[in-house]
Amino acid sequence: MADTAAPAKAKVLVVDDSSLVRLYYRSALEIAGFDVKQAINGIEAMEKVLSEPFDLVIVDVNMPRMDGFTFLRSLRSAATADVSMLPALMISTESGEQDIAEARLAGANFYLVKPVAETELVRHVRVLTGDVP
Amino acid sequence: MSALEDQFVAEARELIRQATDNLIALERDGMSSDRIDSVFRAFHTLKGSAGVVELPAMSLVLHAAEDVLDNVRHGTLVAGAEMVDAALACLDQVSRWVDNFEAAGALPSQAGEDSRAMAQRLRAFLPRSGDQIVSSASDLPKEKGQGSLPEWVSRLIAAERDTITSQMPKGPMAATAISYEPFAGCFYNGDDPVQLMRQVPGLLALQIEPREPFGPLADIDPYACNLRLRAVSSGSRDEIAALFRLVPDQIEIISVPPEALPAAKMHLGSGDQPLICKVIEAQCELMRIPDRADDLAGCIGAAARVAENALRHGQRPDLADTVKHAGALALGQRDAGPLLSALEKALAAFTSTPSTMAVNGESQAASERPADRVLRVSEAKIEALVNLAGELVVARNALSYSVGQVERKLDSGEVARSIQRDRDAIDRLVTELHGAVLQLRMVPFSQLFGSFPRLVRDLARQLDKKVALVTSGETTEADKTIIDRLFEPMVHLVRNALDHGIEDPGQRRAAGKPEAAKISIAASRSGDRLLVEVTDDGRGIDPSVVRRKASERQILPPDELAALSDEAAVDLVFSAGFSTASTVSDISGRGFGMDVVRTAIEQIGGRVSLHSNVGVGTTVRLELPMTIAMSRIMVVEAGGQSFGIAMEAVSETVRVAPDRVSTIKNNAAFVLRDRVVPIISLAELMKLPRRKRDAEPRLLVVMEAAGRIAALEIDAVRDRLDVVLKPMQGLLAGARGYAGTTLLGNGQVLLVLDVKEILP
Repeated sequence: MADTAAPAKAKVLVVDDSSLVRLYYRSALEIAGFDVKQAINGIEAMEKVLSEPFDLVIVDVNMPRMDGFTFLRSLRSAATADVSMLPALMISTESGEQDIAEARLAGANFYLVKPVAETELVRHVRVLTGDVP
Repeated sequence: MSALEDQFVAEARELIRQATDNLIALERDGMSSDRIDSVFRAFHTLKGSAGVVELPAMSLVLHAAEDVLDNVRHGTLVAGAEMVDAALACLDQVSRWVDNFEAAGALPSQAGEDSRAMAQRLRAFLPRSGDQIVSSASDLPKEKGQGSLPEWVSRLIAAERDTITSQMPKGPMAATAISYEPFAGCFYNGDDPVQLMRQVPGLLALQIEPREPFGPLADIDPYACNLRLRAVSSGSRDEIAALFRLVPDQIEIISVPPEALPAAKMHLGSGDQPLICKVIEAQCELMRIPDRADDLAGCIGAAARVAENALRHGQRPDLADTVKHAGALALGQRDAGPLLSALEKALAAFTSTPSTMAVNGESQAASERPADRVLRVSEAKIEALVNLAGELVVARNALSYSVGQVERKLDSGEVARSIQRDRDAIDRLVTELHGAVLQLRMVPFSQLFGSFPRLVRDLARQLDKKVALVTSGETTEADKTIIDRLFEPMVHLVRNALDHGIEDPGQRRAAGKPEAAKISIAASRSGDRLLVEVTDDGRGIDPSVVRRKASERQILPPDELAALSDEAAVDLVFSAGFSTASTVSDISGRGFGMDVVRTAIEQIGGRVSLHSNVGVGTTVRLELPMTIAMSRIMVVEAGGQSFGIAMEAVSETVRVAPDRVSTIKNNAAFVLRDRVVPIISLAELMKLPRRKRDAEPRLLVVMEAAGRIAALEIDAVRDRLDVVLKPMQGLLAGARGYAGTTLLGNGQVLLVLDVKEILP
């Protein structure tokens, strides 16, 4: 059921080194109507957010070349306001208090522990992007 | 009608058919728990759907029928012929109501009375007159009153605390806890435990868990229900007991006093309420982190954006705007303080003020049914697609013609070849598309055969004959038009077989045949033709009787009759006005004979033949095309005769005053939009007497084909028809000027002109 009346859906950047995870997120979000782009590590993600506007970035923690925390810190310190203020959802396999605190310190707006069910992912992305039900 | 109502009508018809089939099978093959369950399930679903579209009269009768069937299911009632009659009558009634509802959007005004009468008729079958609820009250679920709550209830309430509080109305209230452990074999009873739970009124929380831990995947039996469903509802115990009245032994209902429930938060908004709160709380946390450096602005901006989004999602644009302003202020002061306090205030305001959103966002989503794997598409839409594909074929043909012209004009092969290639590609695609679209209209014969068990049963009862109907080839597919057009002839053949073919049980015994006769209907494919056979093991057709009748009815002169072989004599039953039954009975209709069957079959391009052995039985064999290629024709009249003209050649019809017609080289012609159009008189062409009324305007059909134009003068335009064109056969096979013939509804043969041959 496409909500034809609704305005264009938010654009989401999915950053994860696992192609399977990216595919999983992407298909869930695209079915829900979101515009999804992807990156395989923090460096590629940084290039993407600097070159086009996004409404939300979903980022993994453990990735080669640039991990999620480093990415978030450089994102929040970016010179362009639109880039530095990009809402970020961190999804990681770690569920410890320490990890959540570190994510918060790096500037993550919300934190979820893997595995995340498709419906839960979509539900969170809807809230975080202000998708009006 | 709304989409819901459309869905209801389609589903109701399907369920009525299913219930009818199974009722008849039940009566024929005797009691079987699968059958009765299936009948019960169909009535049950139908009743539920009638409730959804708010047709209380329909619900009432179905409810009565359901109660009766429930007794049959549990062995307290035997499904006798009267009961099956009553159940079938109930389905007939419901079926008529569905038609009314589809046509008028409502039931007829006397529906209420009819419904009560029918319900009474059905309830008369119940063992104790009185209503089911009362009788089942004694064995109603184990109910426990106040006092200490079972451990599972406390655990359920604690686990679902958030969900319960977010759904609870203001103020203290009592609730009901339900634990439903469906039997492992419940799916075979037609129970849908999850669906049943969803119907619980005022559902506050639902937990579904495995009853036994699931073993390794390979050991799981998907047909065994291993679930335990537990719920908390604000509905009363009575409501819930009524809902679960059919599974009383699998359910436990506990009343929960108000004090056992968590303190209700104030009325909350959408189902995402707790999540929204959590998201805003997380932004507060983010803002509480001290000593941010050059990531401060980014964090403030992102937190403000996320909180604003969450509040908009929660339908609170007012709070979202406040947060947005506070965010801007915080950015300006490079201090998280203003945003943090705004967030805290928004959080408090969000959780305490009733929002405009209804509470049951979640339960609504839960009740959405999963999409069907089969798409129901209206016939009209398919028809439109078929027509478009047909037009595409015509356009493709026109393109081929143009390409041919281009080829002739362009000697340089390059362009011509490229156009040719494109044309070939389009050719292939159009042909494939056309084929695929026609496939959409293919339906199985089971659609046609489905109504015969009922017909045979009713007729056999009426005639006091014993008949078993055997169908085969239900999965054979044919074009829907064919299947639709086959229905009436088939009804006719089956009626004939029952009425005339099959003997009374007494006669059969005397002839040494089993008392119960057999009628079989079989469909099959043979190359590109369909074969449908209706066979009975009755008395057969006696050629001498046919000869006598034929001479009585003067169908053929006596000498010709005598010269006929027995086979040819039997074929006379297809002659108009022939009927082998000495009295016209109620069953086979009046005045209709096999000639009607033959006409109907030939109209769709098929053939009928008949083989009969006296004393052994009769087989009527229908040979049919797989699809019907329909042509659109215009029926015109000239010289007192009718002719058909293919519509695709007709560009317009005009009336021309006699003074506009001039003679050029002995030929009449007139000017139409700067073109000289020769006039050909159809009557003259056909050597028919021409009407001489020169003072009247002339009626002309302007035809264009292959780049040539001409006007055909006619006397009148009759009809526009979709017909099956048959090529000229026999002696006329070589006749030029005709595209073929078609059989009109009245049995008249219409000659269809080949416009290309007529054009000068």
